[in-house]
Amino acid sequence: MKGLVREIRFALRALRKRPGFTAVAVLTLGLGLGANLSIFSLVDAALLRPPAAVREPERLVTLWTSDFSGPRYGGTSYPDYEAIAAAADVFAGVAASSPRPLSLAGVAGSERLFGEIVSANYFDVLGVRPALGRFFLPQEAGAAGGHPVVVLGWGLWQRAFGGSRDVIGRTVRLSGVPLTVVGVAPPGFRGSIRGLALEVWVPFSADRALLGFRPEGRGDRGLFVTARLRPGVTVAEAQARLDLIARQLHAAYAQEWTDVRGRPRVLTAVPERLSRVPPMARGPVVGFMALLMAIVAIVLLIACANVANLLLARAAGRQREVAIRLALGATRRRLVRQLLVESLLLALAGGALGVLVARWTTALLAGFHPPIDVPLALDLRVDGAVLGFGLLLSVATAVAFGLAPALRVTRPDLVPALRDEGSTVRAGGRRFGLRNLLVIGQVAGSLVLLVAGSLFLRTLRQATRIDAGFDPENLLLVAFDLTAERYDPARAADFYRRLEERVSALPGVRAVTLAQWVPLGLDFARRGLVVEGYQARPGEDLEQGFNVVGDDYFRTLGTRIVRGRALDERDHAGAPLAVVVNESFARRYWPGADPLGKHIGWEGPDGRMAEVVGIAQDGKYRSLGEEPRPYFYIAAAQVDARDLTLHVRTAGDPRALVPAVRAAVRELAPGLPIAKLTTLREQVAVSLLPQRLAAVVLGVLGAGALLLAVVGLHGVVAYAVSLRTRELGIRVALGARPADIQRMVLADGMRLVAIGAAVGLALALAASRLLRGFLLGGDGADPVAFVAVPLLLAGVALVSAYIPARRAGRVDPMEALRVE
Amino acid sequence: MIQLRNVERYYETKAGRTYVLRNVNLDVREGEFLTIMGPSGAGKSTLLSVLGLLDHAWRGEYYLLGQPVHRLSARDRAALNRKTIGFVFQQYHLLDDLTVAENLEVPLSYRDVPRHQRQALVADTLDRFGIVGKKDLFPSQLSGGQQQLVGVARAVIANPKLILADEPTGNLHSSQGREIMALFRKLNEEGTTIIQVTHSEENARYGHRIIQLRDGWIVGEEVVAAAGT
Repeated sequence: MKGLVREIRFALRALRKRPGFTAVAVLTLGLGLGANLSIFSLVDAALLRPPAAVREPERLVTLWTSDFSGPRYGGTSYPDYEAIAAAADVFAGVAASSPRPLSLAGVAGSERLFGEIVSANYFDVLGVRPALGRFFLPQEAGAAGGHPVVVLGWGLWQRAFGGSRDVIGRTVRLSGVPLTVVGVAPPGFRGSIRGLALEVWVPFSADRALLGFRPEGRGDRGLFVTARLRPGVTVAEAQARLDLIARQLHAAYAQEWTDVRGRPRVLTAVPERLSRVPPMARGPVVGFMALLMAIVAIVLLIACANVANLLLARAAGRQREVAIRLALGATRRRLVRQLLVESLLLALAGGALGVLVARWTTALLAGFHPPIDVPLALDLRVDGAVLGFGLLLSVATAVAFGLAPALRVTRPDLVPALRDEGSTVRAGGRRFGLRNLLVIGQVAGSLVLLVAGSLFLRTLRQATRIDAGFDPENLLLVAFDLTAERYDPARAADFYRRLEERVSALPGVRAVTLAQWVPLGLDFARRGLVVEGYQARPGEDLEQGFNVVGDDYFRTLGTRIVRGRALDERDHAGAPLAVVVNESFARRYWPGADPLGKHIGWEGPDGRMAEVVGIAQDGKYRSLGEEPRPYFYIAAAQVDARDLTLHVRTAGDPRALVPAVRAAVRELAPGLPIAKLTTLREQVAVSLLPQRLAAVVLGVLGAGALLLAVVGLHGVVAYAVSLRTRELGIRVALGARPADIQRMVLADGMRLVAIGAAVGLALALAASRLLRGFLLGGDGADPVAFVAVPLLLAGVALVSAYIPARRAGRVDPMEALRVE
Repeated sequence: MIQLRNVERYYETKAGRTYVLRNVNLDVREGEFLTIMGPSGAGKSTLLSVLGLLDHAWRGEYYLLGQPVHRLSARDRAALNRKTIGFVFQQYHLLDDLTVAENLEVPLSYRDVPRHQRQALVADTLDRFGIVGKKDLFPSQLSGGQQQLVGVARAVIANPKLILADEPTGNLHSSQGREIMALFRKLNEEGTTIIQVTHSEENARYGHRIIQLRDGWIVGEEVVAAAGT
């Protein structure tokens, strides 16, 4: 122990003696570790950290009903939830919840927020204690109605009520429903859906209008179900019980409990720690996180390689010191330990800097709100887990960059360093083979990141050339949720009609229409269909995407009608149902036949047969990268549509029209919150957000990695030159011109770059295959990325190697000759 | 062949100018074997560097084969060096990662000798110095004497008119040293001008003339009466 303290003291002294080296090493490691800790804090917040304020989360399981179209994880209906909740032998409690956009009436108009409609035992099952007041009482259970109470989230309580304790008993209006505040949730508790900022909880019984679904409908499957296992009950035992319940439900309700392929539906229990991201999204999310971790791991490896290189360069200067120590009787183990202590101190200082970097990036990320209509809130912070990970990573990093140089410098065959230098001069690079290897690795790593980044950049460029089937320029989108505002269908239709009239009359407006869903928005609705004249194969999925659209939709969006006519004022509430299908729809269901005049019908309460009156061009509906898919359009006037988005085609900048549109809304419906206001161009940008983020992250990290690699290359070449000063001097004495020397040194440096680039290209090619899913339309083998990036890298590397090469060309042969 | 007129070399230091060579006047005839002697720090190696066109920071006049070196650009001096001069070093300075044959090839590659000629010249030289059997060995596999033999062979391979040798036998034991000196004498007899720096009286006797340097000044000159043995 005493020895260790002494070694730490020695190490600190050694590091202080070379402030330049220490600063560069700590900075390099700090950036590498910072990138890793930033991403880890994201992984921690999304996947690893147990939910806040929840008791014994290891006893919680989430329960899922398999979907009608087959996938294993889907929502649960209220009657099925009640059937599951009756299984008291394995579950101490079963809670249901359903997230919902709501509006809270305040002094300055309505605030739009997200809340959960929950079963009364919700907080009991989760094991959460109120910060103030109480949670729901047993009599507030059930969907029968009559208990207008609400629990506020801590953040909302602070924000809207100043944290006042007399909020209990006060009445708030939530989406028009008066509710009495009975309690406040503890700080940190954000409900059952990670990543979503949920701020109020209302029991199912509070008001039917708030429910948004029919609690008696077994086909209305919108509930998230969470259960607490009885002590001692395993997930497997609970699963066995759920299997039995599912069989009973299938026996009793064969129609609702049979999926599209004719198989009985199943119930699945998933432990809480595996359902922090809903299981249906877990695969892609974990994959994306793994990709991010891999990227920052490459950056850290490059940083390690750089510091290892610096240490090796330093080691060369310390060989004499080490030789003396060995001659004085130090063991190799002791010397390695001494050198590793130095590395560890460097890594810990780098780790501390990394924590600062991570605090900064997490604050930056937490403040980033993508323009989407659900409030994202991931509790990003540098907590104990992140610090622990940082400590582990720092130690691993120290070993990664410190061990090889320590072993190298203490090699017993270096003892001759005590004697005068030999009488021959090394001419090649064998002496710094490890350093060369590190530079090759750095070049390869940075090339992978840069190629990947440029693939995403290319995909963004490509996206602008994709024909999406609509014109994204100069289109303003204004969304309302009249269901949440308790508008009845007639009042909603009236509001929309008057709004359309007002906005049409505004100067600079070319066309106005309404639609339920925005192209490339996050919502995408599908409906099971009956198609006239089409014989479905057994188990065929007949659900197709659709939109509910107003008059003039196709002209406003710039979507061509290929045949027949668009939906318009002829398709009013009393007229026969009309539908427009796209080209893919027509091709798929009526190949070779005339689709006009054919009929399709859809499932659901308003399921009727509609006549195909027109065929629209194919477009992009969910993502720019998707293959053409069947799609159809229903007239808004012919269905109950109360959450429509106003689409305004403008002559100029659509944003310029915002104040006028807001004023029109205020005049028509004072206090009505605008659920979302954006432009179609921004909406398209949101749909490209993953690609854009990837391009930025990879580009920034790749540029950083390239910088590190270039610095590393410069260091290696400069070091090689310093080692070879005598040799170079002799070569000059033997007749070499400065250009000969420069060429030789440059060639040595660029040989490393060429090998690194070759390795990097092979890795990048493999990586591009993995990334194919994120790239639009491209097969990943993009010639620009695979040619331009290596050329760029070679150019930058050439410059960095040229500086020491130029110095080498000016080497003074006197140095080599001076023996006196 | 060589005329030095008032050549001076000094370094600027904090303490002022430190002279290494002072007012050096020297004539060397073609075919002469000159020895420069003097204690350590006298300026012997510096003078050799000036003569070898490796040191440019001197003042005075220097004519080499009639060319006014003091008026030549760095590039022309380097070209003159390549055309005229071969070096032999006390520490041999063979390139460790190159074989004997490759070491011999280095000066030729810097003189833009075509590849097939290079190979022929290397083969001739290996033969002439009796080291054909060593051509694929690395320097570390040779004795000191053998290494210096390669060093001399490397110095003469490009057929220089002038060989500058800095303590060529300083690292060799006496019998090896005598062999190398005999080799120098033979080269000199074949017409090569040689200037050597040495501490050894015995080696100095192989030449025709000895000049003594002290503190940068030429302080003495002696014609060797009879060739050494």
